Amino acid sequence: MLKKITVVIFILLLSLAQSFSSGFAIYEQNAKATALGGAQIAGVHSPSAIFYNPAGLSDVQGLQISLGTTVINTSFAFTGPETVDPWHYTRAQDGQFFPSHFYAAYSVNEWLVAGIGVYSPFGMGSTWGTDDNPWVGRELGTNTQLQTLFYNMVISYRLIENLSLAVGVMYAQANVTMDKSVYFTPRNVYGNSSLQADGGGYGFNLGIQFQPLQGVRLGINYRSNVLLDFKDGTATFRFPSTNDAVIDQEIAGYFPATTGASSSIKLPYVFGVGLSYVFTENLRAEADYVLTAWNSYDKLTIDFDQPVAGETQSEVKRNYEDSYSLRFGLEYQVQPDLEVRAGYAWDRHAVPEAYVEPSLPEGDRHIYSAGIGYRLFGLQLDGFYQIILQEDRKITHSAQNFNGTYSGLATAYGMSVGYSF
Amino acid sequence: MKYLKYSFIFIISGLILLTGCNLQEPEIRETTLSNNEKLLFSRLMAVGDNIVAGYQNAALTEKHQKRGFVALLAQQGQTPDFMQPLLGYPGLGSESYSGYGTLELRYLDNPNTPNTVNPDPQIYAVPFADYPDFDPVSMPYVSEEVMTYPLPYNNLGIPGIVMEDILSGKTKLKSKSHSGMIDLVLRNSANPLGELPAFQQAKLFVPSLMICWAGMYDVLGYAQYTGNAQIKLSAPTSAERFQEKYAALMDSLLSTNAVVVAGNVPDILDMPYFNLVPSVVIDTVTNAPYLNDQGNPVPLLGVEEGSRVLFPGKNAEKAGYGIPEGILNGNGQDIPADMVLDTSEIALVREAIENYNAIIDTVCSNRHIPVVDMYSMFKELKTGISESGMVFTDAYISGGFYSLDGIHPSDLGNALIANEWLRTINDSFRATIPYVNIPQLMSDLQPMNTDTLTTNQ
Repeated sequence: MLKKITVVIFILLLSLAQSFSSGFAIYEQNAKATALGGAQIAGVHSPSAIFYNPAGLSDVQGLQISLGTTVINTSFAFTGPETVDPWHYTRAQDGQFFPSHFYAAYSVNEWLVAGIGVYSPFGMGSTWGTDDNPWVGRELGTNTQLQTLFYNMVISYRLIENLSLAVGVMYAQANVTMDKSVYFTPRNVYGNSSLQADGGGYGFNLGIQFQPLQGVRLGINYRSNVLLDFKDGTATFRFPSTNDAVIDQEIAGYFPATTGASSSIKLPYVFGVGLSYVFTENLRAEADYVLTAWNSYDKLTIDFDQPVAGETQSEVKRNYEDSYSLRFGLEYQVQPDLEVRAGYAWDRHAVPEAYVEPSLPEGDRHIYSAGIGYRLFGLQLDGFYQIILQEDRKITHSAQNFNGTYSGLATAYGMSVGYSF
Repeated sequence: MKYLKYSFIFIISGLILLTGCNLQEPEIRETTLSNNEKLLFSRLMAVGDNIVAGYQNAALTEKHQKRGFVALLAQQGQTPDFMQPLLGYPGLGSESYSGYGTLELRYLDNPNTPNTVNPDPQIYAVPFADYPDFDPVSMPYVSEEVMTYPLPYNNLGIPGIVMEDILSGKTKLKSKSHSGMIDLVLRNSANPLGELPAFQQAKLFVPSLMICWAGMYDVLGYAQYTGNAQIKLSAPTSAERFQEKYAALMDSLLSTNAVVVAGNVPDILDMPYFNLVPSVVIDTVTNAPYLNDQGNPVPLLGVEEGSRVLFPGKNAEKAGYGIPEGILNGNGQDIPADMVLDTSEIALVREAIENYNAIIDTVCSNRHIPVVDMYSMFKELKTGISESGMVFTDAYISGGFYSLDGIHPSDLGNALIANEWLRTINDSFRATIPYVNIPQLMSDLQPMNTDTLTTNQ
């Protein structure tokens, strides 16, 4: 039996390896699910269902909570640009991110479960070069950080014995920082531009879980777009003194030291379907398909309260494309209180070749994960380790003529602790 | 069987850990020159006109000669002992007859006209009087060493010469163009080997690589306003003569056994010099078109539909020329005809450039000489040339490519040109000469850094 599965999985992996990351989404929202490659839409039945598929809450009994964090270590590098030196190698500062999650669910009665979750499904960070040693792509981006925190309330209703439906509302908070160099061409002076803004927006999520046969579960998860509105942001422009009062004054006239700025970003909707299958009483597998509709992010428009270099608006094309991931997980129960898990996911890029830029050096990713789950004194302990191998991405038609090769690698590990009252 | 299942999972997770959790760093982190590439650039020589010479801001002076595209090529190719006829500050150029050198930008927007809608940059020519150490007549070079350099200069580009002067121009008087710069670059009055034109001097040096970008002045010398200072070409060099002389020039250059690389002629009519001054009266307060009582712009006197007012026309207009009496300070006289390019003259210029480029293409392809397509590169400035986040355009001052004279490229413009030549050289000779690092140059050019700027000389 196991051999068959192995063969099937390998064939799947091989057939996919040629073809497919996904913008700045973070799918690691629970240690168990992550160990399973994120493939949990059909099989989830713990409070983390709030993220993976809220209909999975229907299996929760009493009050359950789950709390955890993930440590993601990222490394990125860029070789190029070809207009400078095709071999010029720049390594970004290594990043470390701690997306954390908290879920609580309570079964009101046999049919109805309510839950609340707090998690960070989007985020990114990249830092290239330093103030003293700026990097070659400084005008494209030096430091970019985006953090989000979603508050999600859901109710799940068991319609009939083998069918559950769920609906939830989300409020998202976000915080963005974008730094880069700007050049005052008439006088040849580099300055720094820094944009900082907080924003928020609403969305909703839906879920269905259905068990057509014993051992087979199907799931559908939908999380809506969220329009993050960044009002009351601040754009800051800092230029060094040139020791020439006329030039300094000209710069001050073109670049306000600080000005209000606003923007908005429409986060993608996410649609996923999953199938889980129980092979033996100890062995369960799941395969998911998750679409992330990144085409919502077509441009980044920033409005300034005061003109910057004569313009009150800056617009950068992003032109992201929808991306999808294929996720596979395998779980084996070794003992009643011990489970071992493995997962693989393939994540297709969201940024088309022409628009890949250093703030988000993404590409197709192969994600391998493994983990264990253990029950101790009534606590459910889950841990995982994950490695994200990003295929090198050679850009030959950059819209900004910044051609070269992006490479990236990330590792992640994390833990979730659950408790049933 | 049970253990087999465990081992399967643990082997997989072990393998995952072993695949490496670190980004692999490359051993090569920048391009280095091979011996053959160094050899190619070891005896670099350049001939041509203004841009080759490093002419910028209406003058030739060390400050910008050091950052001219030929100097940048020498820097990237590590040419040893690369020497140019470096002139002291403020240099010599089109304003020198009146006692001025290079142009500088005083104010981006003239503070005396605070109500301008469009910025009104204030540019001034640096007077020789401010630099008593600079002797424009007998010793304009930056040093005795440069003046008495015992070999020909590696850069024999001469501002204000027509193409055939490379072959036959020996002195100002013994040349077709009569450019005053010939004597400064060729130094034939003190040449123990006799009077040698640029080509002969280059040949004598036994060059390894010959850069030749000529022909622009053959038409620019006709189209631009020269005042009384320089001799204006009565017509662009005819296609027949250009054909004959260009073929002879290329054959001569090849006879040196050097690798020859040529450039074609940009469309000079795209340059800010020919586009900056609108053909309507400009209000001196707003620096925007003046509107009459009917709310319409007022055409300049002496400028027909389709004509272009040359850059110097701006000063004439400020003095009241071209403006009807009763409007602003108008004196009712035409803009001087030599500051206007009328439609027939424009057509002549266009035709000449097309002819030259067709000739350059044919002559060079017959001789397997690679041609750097300067025409297309300059055209690309209309939509903008992107470079690591920066976009260079043909806009005056703010576009970054052109210098203050509106014709010759700035330091950054020269870097873009150098990279274009390097691209052609790399492609044609399977070389991998590294390009000029433009973001780095942009940093080096900052006013607080320019004192410490070093070049390879």
